[in-house]
Amino acid sequence: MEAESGDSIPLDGMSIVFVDKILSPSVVRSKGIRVKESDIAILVERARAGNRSSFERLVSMFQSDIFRMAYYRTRSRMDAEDLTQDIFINAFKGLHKLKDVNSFKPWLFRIALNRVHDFHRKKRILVFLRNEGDDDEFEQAESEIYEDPQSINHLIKEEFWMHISRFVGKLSRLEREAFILRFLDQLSIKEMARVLKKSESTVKTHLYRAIGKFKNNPEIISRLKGETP
Amino acid sequence: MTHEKGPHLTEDQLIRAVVDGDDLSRSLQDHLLECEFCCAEKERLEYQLSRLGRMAKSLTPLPGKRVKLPAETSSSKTWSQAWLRRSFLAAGVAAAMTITLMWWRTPNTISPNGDKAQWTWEIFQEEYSLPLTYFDIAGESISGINEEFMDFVIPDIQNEAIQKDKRKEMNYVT
Repeated sequence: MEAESGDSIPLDGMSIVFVDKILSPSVVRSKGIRVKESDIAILVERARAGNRSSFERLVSMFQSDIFRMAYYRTRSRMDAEDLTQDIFINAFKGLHKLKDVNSFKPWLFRIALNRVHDFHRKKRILVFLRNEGDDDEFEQAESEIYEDPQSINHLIKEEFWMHISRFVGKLSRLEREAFILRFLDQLSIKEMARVLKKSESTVKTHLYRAIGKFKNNPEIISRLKGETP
Repeated sequence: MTHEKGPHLTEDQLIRAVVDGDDLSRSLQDHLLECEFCCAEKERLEYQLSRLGRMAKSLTPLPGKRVKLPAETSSSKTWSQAWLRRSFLAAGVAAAMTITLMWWRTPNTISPNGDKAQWTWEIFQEEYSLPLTYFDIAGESISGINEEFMDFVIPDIQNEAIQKDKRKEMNYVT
């Protein structure tokens, strides 16, 4: 659903007015709908005051973004769903700690990033304790639930994520985070700086390096053109 | 390769232009506006990066579950739960302190750091609880035992054997 400029949707007694077609820094795209940052701030303010429905509105606005963010980093639908649930529960409980209501999105992504890191840490310990065979069986079962492994869609998806994995594997931790946050999660430099708790210039430096490596990676570039290397 | 407005942008400068065009110097920004080659290079890189984002988005499944927020709890319930938790904590601390105090007050039968003489004296005191002055009266004195008297009461095995042999010898002679 793409709202047009000037359209509005009701929002707990107020309305979100859709602004210009060109995305300005004060406009956030969520669920395909462009929402003004000031309107999100109002929802956050109300949610902090104990208005549950306002928080539910925020959940519905950001659920897809957070789910995708978790999926990009786990490549598992089940894990991404569980993480999304966890992230919003954490946000709901810690909303009173948010100092600036205008920075809800980077704050939420910061929680998400921390939860994803915790997830990977726990998984590493589990993999160490568990037999590898068990892990394979689990992954196989998971893919069977959602998709036929022989379908073209599945193969395209597998191939794409394999190339992405290979590419981001060559980046340093901060380069990888910066690259994914900017080009996959579509965050602005300012938001990224808040999520990563680094200065904007540091974030840019890591982005320059990551883009440099991306530009010189013929495998992924040709994949984006739809050619085989 | 050059342009009438100066040399073309290097790879690093192109990347800077993609991340944040304002990071470039004024002259490079002017060049980028006028040079078709550099402009096309920049747009190509931007397109590749945005295509990557779009592909990632399209190849991601949609979330199947709705986020469920924790059930609302009434303030009185929360208040009572907090008090219950505090009471349990206080009881736990009190129990721990009592156990520690009891352990502290219990006299040690064997002092871990005391020397052997001290330990022997403690054992002796436990066994002979009367003051030393009453030991003779009670017949428990161990200091003034007459050895001859003791030999008479409990003869030495060796002495008894010798005496038996002597008695046998006497009988044989007679």
